[in-house]
Parts: sequence; structure tokens; C-alpha cells
Amino acid sequence: MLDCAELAKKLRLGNDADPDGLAIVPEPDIDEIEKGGEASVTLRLGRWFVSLRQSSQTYFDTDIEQAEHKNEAKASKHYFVPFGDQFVLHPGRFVLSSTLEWMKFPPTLGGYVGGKSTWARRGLIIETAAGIHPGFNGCLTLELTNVGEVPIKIRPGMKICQIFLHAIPNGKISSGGLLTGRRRPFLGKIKPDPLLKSLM
Amino acid sequence: MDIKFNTEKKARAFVAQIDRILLSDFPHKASESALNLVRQFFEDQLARITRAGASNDRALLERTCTTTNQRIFEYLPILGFLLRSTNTRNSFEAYYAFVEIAQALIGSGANVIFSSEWDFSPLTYPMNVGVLPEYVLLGMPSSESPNALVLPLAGHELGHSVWRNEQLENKFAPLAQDEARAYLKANWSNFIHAFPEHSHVQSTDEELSNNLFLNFVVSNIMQIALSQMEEIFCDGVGACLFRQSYALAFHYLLAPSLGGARATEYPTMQNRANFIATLGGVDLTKHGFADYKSEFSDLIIRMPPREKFTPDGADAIGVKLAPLMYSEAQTIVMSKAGKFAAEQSAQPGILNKFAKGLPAREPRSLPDIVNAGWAYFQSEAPTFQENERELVEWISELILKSIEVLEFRSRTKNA
Repeated sequence: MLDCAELAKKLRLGNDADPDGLAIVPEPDIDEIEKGGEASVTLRLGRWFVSLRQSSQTYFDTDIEQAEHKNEAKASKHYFVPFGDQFVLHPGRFVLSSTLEWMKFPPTLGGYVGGKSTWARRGLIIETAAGIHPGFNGCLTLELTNVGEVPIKIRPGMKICQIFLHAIPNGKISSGGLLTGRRRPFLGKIKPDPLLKSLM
Repeated sequence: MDIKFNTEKKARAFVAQIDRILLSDFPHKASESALNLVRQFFEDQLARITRAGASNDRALLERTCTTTNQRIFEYLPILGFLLRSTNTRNSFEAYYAFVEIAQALIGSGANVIFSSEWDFSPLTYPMNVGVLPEYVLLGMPSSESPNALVLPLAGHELGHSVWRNEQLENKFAPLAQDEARAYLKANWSNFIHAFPEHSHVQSTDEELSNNLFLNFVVSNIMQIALSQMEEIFCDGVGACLFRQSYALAFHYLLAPSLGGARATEYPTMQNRANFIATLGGVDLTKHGFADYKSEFSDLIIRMPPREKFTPDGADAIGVKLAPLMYSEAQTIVMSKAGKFAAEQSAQPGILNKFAKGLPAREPRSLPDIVNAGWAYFQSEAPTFQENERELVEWISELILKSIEVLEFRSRTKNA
């Protein structure tokens, strides 16, 4: 895992658009990271939210075919919350959001996103699919759930999560192309799984 | 059922519709406050109907009901516009940037409503909403709402609010009238050809002042010319703020034409394109257009001379005064909102980020971002492989995220 000094170095390289650097826009306070001693970069909450709503769709099928994605779109509702406003996450509710920051990982870095203990202790779960692959580009989609018993007001721009980074020595291959970046949370496509097909 | 009963019913139904819309999730408060103003306006209409009914004056009641019908007719599209301002297909990231520009141009009390139209042309929305004098209504065609490349066209709509706020119609009406009279005198033989029954009239200043029909013709030419001058001014505002991206967005959306007969309140498409190309302050040959004007066409409809005379006069005045309208737009924009206007030197840095798949790190203004977006779009379009992703969608992601970064920096600059 990268320590604070190595994190700061990667972020400075990213600011200078070095292909080996980690670019984050808007950039975090690199001096604070370097001096803070923590081995993570704190990220802020973005302004778009996607909730799953009750609809005529009865389930998400893990064998979903491409044509059925329309049903997923039908089952989701988008919200835009301006800075200064809030989104209330009620107990037991699940909503997708994203980081305010747009990131571009080099092939030599991977990582994990995790919650902030401050929120975790109040019942706010940030992420359940935590891996960030080398070459990731865009805003991270966060899966927010309130597992506590009290509604939580979340505000765009608040510190919501943190990423831990790992070096991939001699990494040259990126998981996604340049054009994969998204600014809003999205459900994503279920990739075809021939092995699963053969088992059914 | 009598007209009072029916009109009250319709006005109450209108208010009930507003109440239903007020239950929506409003991304920005301006739409909600606008709805409340419209609601109060219709509560006042209901009170007027009650008073008129109590007066036992049938003529007064009929006038009041007619006015109420007319206002329902006028304001129903506004309700639709306000409702659509809640739709998340809109490029909401651009809202704050437009509020900053609008407040610089019009005053700190300016409210912006960012919505989408079920009308393809964003340039034809009726801007004079009496109940909402301090509201700037910016509406993109709904099918283009997520396309950040067309954002510069909102500059034209800002222009309408500037025109009203600066009372430019009052300022330029005497000039338009002088020009209309001058046109009539200079084209007297055409006038006689169009209106042979007035061939006995002389084109003297005295006749032009005293002859009722000549006054009518001058007034018609003047009114249409003023409308055209406003449209030209609004293009000037858009071009001054956004420079080349205004021309490029205008071309994307409207070239070669929207078909059908032209509305005479607008200059011809070719004239507008010519003004943008020659007065807009940008050499469009550097942006892929050897002859920008020729990209546009106008449907020529043969009209009898007496119908043609008035719009011809307005067109001639529009052409003559276009440099003045652009100059006026330039003066107002640069004196009040110059810090938001596009700067060519700011574009390469942003374009460099876009080419690396990143949003702008420290953008200066919305127009700089959109100009860089267009530069990226133009450079990539010939070879871009859309099987992975559509180019417009991709560049819109980067533009809108960059605009969000602009807002973030603006809000946190003193933190």
C-alpha cells in the first residue's frame, strides 16, 4: 500500500499529466496528504444520485440480456442535488452516487475505496464493490446504504469516502479504455458470462 | 354554464396544476419561486373574476373572462417549461455558471431557469413573461439537453433578457423609425409599384409625417425591424460571450435551415450567419468553414409586392444596423460580464486535458470550456470510433464535469 509520501508523489505527477501519475480533479490538498500520515486520499460526494424505485420490473436477472437493460433504466430514478442542498438517506434505503472527483489511474496503480469511520459508525455504508482497477477513468460510483436506524442527511461536497492505493510494479495494461469515464453514477452493464450460460 | 363559472373552473384547474407541479423535486429553487409567482398571479385573476361578477356589468365580466382565458393560454406553456426544469436530462452542471453570467449582465436579482423545450429551436421561446420579469428562461431542445456542445445557444436567450433589462427597444426605436422612413423614401418607386392606389402621394417629409397610410407602413417596417434588431443583438451577445462555439453550435442546430417559410421577425438565416461570421469576432475559416454563410439557406417564397415591401424594408434595416447591434452587444457584455467571455488563450490548456480523458483542472469560464470541447469534437470527429461510445456523449461528460469544477472553484475560492 502506498504511504502518504508515495501518494503525494503520484498525485503531483498526475497534476503534471505524467502518465505514471494519479490525476484527480478537483485535486485534493496534496500537502495535507503528505503531512497527514494517512495512507489514503479522501474524496467528496458528487451531486447525482440514482435510486431504484418500485416499478413493474419484478427482479434483476443475473442472466440479463442486452435488450433488457431498458427495464433497469425504468427501475431507476435520477436526482441532481445542488451544492448547499441535501439528500436524505432513510434507514434501509439504498442509493447510488458518485465521487465529486474525476480520477484517472495509471496502469501502475490499483486500489480500494472504503468508507469513513465517522459515517460508518452512524450506519452509512459507502461501497460494496470496492476494487479500483488500473486505468480506471471517471468518477467512482458509490453504493450508499443506511443500515442504521436514523435518517442521514448527505450533502454534495462532503467528505464521503477514501481510496487506498497499491502499486502494480511494471504495470502496463489498463482495465478500461480512455472513453470509459462517467460523471454520474450508473448501474453498469452485466457482462456476458459464457461459463454461467453453459451451467444453466 | 355561464362564462364566469367556466372561467373560474379553468383558472382553478390551472392553479391546481401548479400545486401538483410544486410537489416535484426541484434541482434549483428558481423554478419553484417562479411557479409561486405564477400561482399568485392566477389567484389574482380569480379575485378579479369574482369582483367582475359582483359588479353586474356584463361587458366588464366578459372582458375579465377573456383576459383570464388569454392568460391561461399564454402561461400554460410556461408551466410546461417550469415542470421540465426538474427533468434530469438537463445539463444541470451548467446552471450555476449561467446564473453568474446572468447576474453580471442583468443584475444580482436575476433568476435563471434551466429547462428543456419540446420545440427544436431554442431561439424562439417567448421571452416576455410579464409575471417573471427578473427570470431568464434558458431552454435547450429536449433531444439535445444532454449535449453540452449546444450550451452557447443559451447566450442568445440571455441576450433577450439583456435587451429588455437595458430597455434597448426604447433606445433604438427612434433610429429604427428614422431608418424606416429613409427606406420608404429611398424605395419610393417600389412602394408605388406595391401600392399603386397611393401613387398620388409624394415622398416628402411632410407627407411621411401626416399621411396615415405612410405612417402605417413606416410603423410596420419599424416594428419588424426592431424585432430583427433584437434577434441580431441576441446573436451578438452569444457570439461575444462564446466566440466560435456560438457559431459552431448555431450551425450544428440550425444549418442548413429548419425548413418552412421564414418568420419575418427574424433576419434570414443567411443574414444571421453572415453577421455571426463577419461581426462575431472570430475567423471561422480557422474552425472549418470556408464560407460559413453558404452553409445556410432560406426558402424563398414569392410574395406579391405589397406583402413583400414591409419585410424587405425590415431586412434592409437589419443589415444596415447589424454592426451597431453587435457593437452594442459587445459593449454591454464586455463591460458587465467581460470576465466570463471566451479567451482564445485559455482553450489549449483545457483541450490538452480533454485529449487525456480528463476534465479541466482550473477552468476560467464556461465559454472557455465549451470552446475547448468544440475543438476536441472537431479534431476527433473524423476518426472517432463510436462503437465504444458516442463522441458527443463523451465530450459532454468532460465539458459538464469541467463546468462543475468551475463552480466548485468559484464557491471554494475563499475557503
